[in-house]
Amino acid sequence: MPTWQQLRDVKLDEYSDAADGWGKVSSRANSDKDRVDNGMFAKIHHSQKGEAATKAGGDIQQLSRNYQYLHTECGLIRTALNGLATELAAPQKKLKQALEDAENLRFTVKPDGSVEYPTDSLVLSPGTHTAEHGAPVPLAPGKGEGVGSADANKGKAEDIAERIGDAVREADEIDSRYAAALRRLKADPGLEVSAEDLVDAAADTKALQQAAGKYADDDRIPHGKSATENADWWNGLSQEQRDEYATLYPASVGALDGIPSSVRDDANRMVFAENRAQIQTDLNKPAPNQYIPNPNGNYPAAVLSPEYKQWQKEQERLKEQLKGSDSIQARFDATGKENLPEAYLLGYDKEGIGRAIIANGNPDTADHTAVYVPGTKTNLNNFDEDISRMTDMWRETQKWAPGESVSTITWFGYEAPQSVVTDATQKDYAYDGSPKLLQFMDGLETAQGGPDNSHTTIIGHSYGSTVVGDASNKGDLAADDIVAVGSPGMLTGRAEDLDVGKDHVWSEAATSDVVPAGGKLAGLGGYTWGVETWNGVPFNAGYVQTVPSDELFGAHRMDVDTSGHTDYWTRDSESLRNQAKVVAGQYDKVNED
Amino acid sequence: MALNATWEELFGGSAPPGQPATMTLAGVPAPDSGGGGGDANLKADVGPWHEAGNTAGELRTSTGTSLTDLDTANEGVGGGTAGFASSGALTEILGTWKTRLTAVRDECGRLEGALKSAGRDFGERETATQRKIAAEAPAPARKEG
Repeated sequence: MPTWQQLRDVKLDEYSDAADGWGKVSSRANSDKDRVDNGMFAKIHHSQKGEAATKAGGDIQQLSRNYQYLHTECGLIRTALNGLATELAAPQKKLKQALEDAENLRFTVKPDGSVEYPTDSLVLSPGTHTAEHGAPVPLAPGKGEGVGSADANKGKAEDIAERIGDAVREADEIDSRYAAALRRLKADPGLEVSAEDLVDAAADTKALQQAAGKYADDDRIPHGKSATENADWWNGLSQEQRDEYATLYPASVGALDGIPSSVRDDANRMVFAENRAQIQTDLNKPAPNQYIPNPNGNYPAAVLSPEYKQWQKEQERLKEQLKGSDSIQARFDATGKENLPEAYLLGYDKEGIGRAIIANGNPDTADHTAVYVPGTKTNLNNFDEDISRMTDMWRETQKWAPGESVSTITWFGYEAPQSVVTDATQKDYAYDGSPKLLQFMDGLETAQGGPDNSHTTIIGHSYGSTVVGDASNKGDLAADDIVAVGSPGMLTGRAEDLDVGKDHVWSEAATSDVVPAGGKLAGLGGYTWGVETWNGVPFNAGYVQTVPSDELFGAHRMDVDTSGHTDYWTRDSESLRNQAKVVAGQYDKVNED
Repeated sequence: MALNATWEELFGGSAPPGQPATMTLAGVPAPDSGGGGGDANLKADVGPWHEAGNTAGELRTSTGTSLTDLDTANEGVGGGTAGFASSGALTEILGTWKTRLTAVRDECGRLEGALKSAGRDFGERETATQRKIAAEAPAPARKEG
């Protein structure tokens, strides 16, 4: 416990100066991690050097994990020291005020914190007396015993002693709290960054969130606000504050639509690495006793224990979560392969069917951006294809946009229906998902610096196009083009009703894709008055339901050379090429009806 | 030494836990033992392995700067903050991070050497092949007039 003299003399600048040093190390580690990933791993991992590349790749990935670990932990130490200095300033100020008051009254503060004061009270004995902190008093400190005395010194001295004591006690509480948090933040020896290290890092983060809650509070981060409000908040922070929020509350910062993608990526990757490590360590937990004596008789003699059944169930869940994280990690590792640009993780959640938003190339600076909204049965435990559709889209679009930068995004940011159902709740998934899509698109536009800075296309596949349609119905969808692929309907009857305007609505549907017809049965189309045609020949008229592949809907019906509901992104296919041409803004090159 | 054996040595075994990374640094062959002449170096310098090695070298410097930053930043803490438990805690953890940063810095140094050496091995063969092809190919006929 510090003494009052130590509290008076403590140079809080030393803590904030030290914090600056740790902050520099943390930030440097963050950019060094990018250099390892992009300047080392991506360079050699995909070279045709087989075994050599594999071995070197392992070492380089370990180096990358070290920088991520340094970024997190040194960043937390920085925040702990800043929190300590900031919080200690209050009791120090309180103490200094008390000492100044004592001096003005010509009282003496003794080494033990008691206050010596002169008195000429008629009640008290003449000479000097001492007031101590916490002395039993009948009434409020510093008030009671002064009553009846013509001399106010006793009361004043007691008040000062009380304030000195309080200040020291407060300082001690703060110091102990931060000391405990700091002690947790130590490095393991060696070069390994094990799953346990990362799980510890996550626990350290939580512990510091508790300890430093007064200094940096999660509540100050906007939650559920618009992209513009998020961006305004972020822009109003100093660089140090940004770094602090990003390392202390990575999940909150990573979710902020409207702030720079590189910041969200760093924060989400930290969350991702820690979650992945948690899954791995949970999977390695030993199984509980498999059998227990049969409680219902002696045949069979033993039955599976309830704990074991629970553990088995848990293992299944964890394996699925691991599979999801493997898909994402594989995309990270693929950077550099066939010139694939770096990935940006703009969202991740392992719970339930999971969530993941992954960009190929920085969307903030892209000339052309594509956002793919996947459909029914999308689940993080089976996510490879949702990622590869957009990496293939990136490669194809790049061909049609030479010299321009392209970003393609897989946006799995909503609760996708897990089975094809035809009941009324079918629409609810779109109703719940569309506000999230609107918010994400707003965030993208904000981070890009306005609507004119990137040509943006939304590609809705299957039920994803229903979400896109509902988003357009409900809000102002920040996009320039909409592509509906294998669409069961967009909850709107006409292309012209969509936010991008009729000329910028595109459709792809294979003749063997049964989803557009099925969508009508489910009522996911929209209704409009008109004449239905097939190859231009009228066959029905009236108030009819339409889906984007219907001629009456009025979208550009693009040529498709793939079959079925799921092959629209096959490499070198007309189906993929036509979408890419739209994304690249090469409208006149699109082959359509 | 066969290429695979070189690789075994360069990247095969990680240092046993607790051993400083500099132990493996000694396993990196001296620049000349890779067999590449200065000429080959120059050509291979633009290859991905050399680029990766150069990045490792820059990271070695960068991580060294971090070590210095930590020392400088924490210098005043002990004297100016007597009586506070946090200062003791900071001293405790500072040592562990300096150890980690030193290990990371040394690993960058090791990788710089290993990657460049690998680049020389690959580059040397490529350059040799190119030379061979160039030597065997007939000189391109000059179009006259």
